[in-house]
Amino acid sequence: MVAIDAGSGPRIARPVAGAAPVPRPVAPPVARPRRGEGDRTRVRVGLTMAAFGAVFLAIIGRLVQLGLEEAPAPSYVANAQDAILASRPDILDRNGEILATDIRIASLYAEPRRIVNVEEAMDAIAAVFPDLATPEMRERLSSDAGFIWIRREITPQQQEAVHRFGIPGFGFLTETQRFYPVGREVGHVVGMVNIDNEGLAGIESNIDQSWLASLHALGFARGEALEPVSLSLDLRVQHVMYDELTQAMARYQAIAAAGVVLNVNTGEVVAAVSLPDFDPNHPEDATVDNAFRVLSGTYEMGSVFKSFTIASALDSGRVSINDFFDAIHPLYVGNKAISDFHGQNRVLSVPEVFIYSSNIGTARIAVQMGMDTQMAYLDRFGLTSRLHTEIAAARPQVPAHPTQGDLMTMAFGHSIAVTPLQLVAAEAALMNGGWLMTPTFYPRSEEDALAGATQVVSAQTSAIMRQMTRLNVEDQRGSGNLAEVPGYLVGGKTGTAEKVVNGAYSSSVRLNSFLAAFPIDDPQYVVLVMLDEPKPERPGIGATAGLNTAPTAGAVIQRIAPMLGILPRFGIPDDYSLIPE
Amino acid sequence: MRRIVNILLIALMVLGAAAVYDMKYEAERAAEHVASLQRQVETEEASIARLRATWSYLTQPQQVQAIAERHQDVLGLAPLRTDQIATLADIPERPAPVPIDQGALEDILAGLTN
Repeated sequence: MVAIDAGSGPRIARPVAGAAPVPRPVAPPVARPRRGEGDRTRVRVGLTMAAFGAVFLAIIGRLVQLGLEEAPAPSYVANAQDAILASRPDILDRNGEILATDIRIASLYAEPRRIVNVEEAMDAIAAVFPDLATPEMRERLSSDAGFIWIRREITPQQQEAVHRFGIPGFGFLTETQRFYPVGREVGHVVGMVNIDNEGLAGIESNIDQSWLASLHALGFARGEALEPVSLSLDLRVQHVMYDELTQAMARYQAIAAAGVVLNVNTGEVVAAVSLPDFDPNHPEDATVDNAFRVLSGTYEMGSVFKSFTIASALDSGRVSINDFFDAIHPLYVGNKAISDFHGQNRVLSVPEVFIYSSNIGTARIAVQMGMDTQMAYLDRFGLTSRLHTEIAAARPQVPAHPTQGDLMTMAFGHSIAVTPLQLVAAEAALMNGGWLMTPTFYPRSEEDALAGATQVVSAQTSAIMRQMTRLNVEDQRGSGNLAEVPGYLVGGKTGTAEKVVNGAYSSSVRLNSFLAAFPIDDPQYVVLVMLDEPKPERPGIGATAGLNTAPTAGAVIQRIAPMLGILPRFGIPDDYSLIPE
Repeated sequence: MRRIVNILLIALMVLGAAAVYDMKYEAERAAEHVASLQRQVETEEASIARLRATWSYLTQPQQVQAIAERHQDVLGLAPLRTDQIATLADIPERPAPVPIDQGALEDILAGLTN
């Protein structure tokens, strides 16, 4: 007998005890597979395998995806300090010399609450800062305070030394400080910053206004390096101007001085010096007295203005180069007389008016030109409106309703006060063929300069002015003889302007200037030297511009010409064809 | 047969797990290395900035001029004069070499030895 158990487990033929095993054919399985336990298990196994397979597929897929992704830019945890550090770009001169840079200064602090061993901490302090190892320091370190400064602005060597001690509870905070390696020589142009690293004046302020302040407001440019900013300034030329002006101030006992070197073809400011000055590393020293005279002060420049009067008259056609003007008698404006200093007391030709610097002659030229023409040309030269350059400029003082007397006095540089830089820019226009360019402190190419330039006088007028300024230096009768530098054709005009003292012009207190250009056959640079209240170098000689500003300008030109790539040329013949016999 | 395949697959699974752990730790180590290198780079950049500032301070024209003037006797440096500036064109050409007359030379030498 075989007992068949229908429900549980496989069919096993179990022999019943006692009976002989008889092989009995087992009934064939049913054609349709029954849903048995075995099938359910197989399904479960299959499902589990499918689930695992899906998970593995997902993992493989994600791995492939990650493998194909680009690696994210490496970044490390930025500390809270970087979030408040407002970094500024370096400022370089045109040759890459550093004029302003950020340096990181560390300060040492302690958290006395977390100091484990006060003796150890005191040893560390005594080793690096011997003057700080006092009983007060020990007390402060033993206290329960949360934060105390130990020493601010420590050197990197000190920072390294303290770090090596490894005292828990000590820490360093690095702050960024603006440092001006060159200091006072470029102080006015580069400017300075306040405690929050925001620009206060000069190019620093210009950088803020142009793009840096917006960048900081948006949250960028914090703690990271920025592209350095190049200026058009040449540090070597700036230094020469600074050196010569300092010597001239001492030699002639002037109270102030200013100097500018401008590139005639591009309008770039190569040097701009104003004395007295201050060190931008100590911005608290900046006062009204040591402001930037080149741009923030307006001055009646005196006879240097005659170049513009004569150029305007010639360019307008109202006066011809062959005209003659009566300089015998003084001219009267009301009850004030216009007379010549060391006057010739005869009739003068136009070039003679220029080289003898005749006030009467120039006033008559202005009268022949007419008020409207005079004012129109002054506008065209940019001498009546504020100069728009990267550093803030003062507005010139021009008479609102100019009278005939104003017309005559403006002809030789009084009744109108301008900033020295706009005067230099106008002179550059006279020298380069008549193109007026706005002076800039950033590098600029000739093409860009010409694209933005306006023609104010014709090329012919410019040629005539070049010849006349050369005559003024070369000819013995001119006032600029002491500016002559052998090998460089220097041309220039002196200006001895009487300053107003107690409401009247004083003949003993003057503002002297010399406005030069070289080499005169193809001018490359215009140089201005201005001395405020120079005295005679020694008793018995005068203190007119030809005796102090002209030699200073000559000394500057002699030193800077090789630096600027202008070689001396000898053996060029003189040209006297302008003076009628 | 099945047993061998099973053992092989189990071994592969163990190897796979080990490989994954290994890769994870490698990645962590690499990230730490990158962070430490970046800190070093930052320190070096700060040093470079400090050194450049020191260099600019020490080589500014005013310093150099002061040194040249202070040690005038030793250095002997003077301001450049315009007549000291020349170009290559100012240097005269080497004169054309005169050919040697062998006969005349031998006569002279013979005259010396006599």
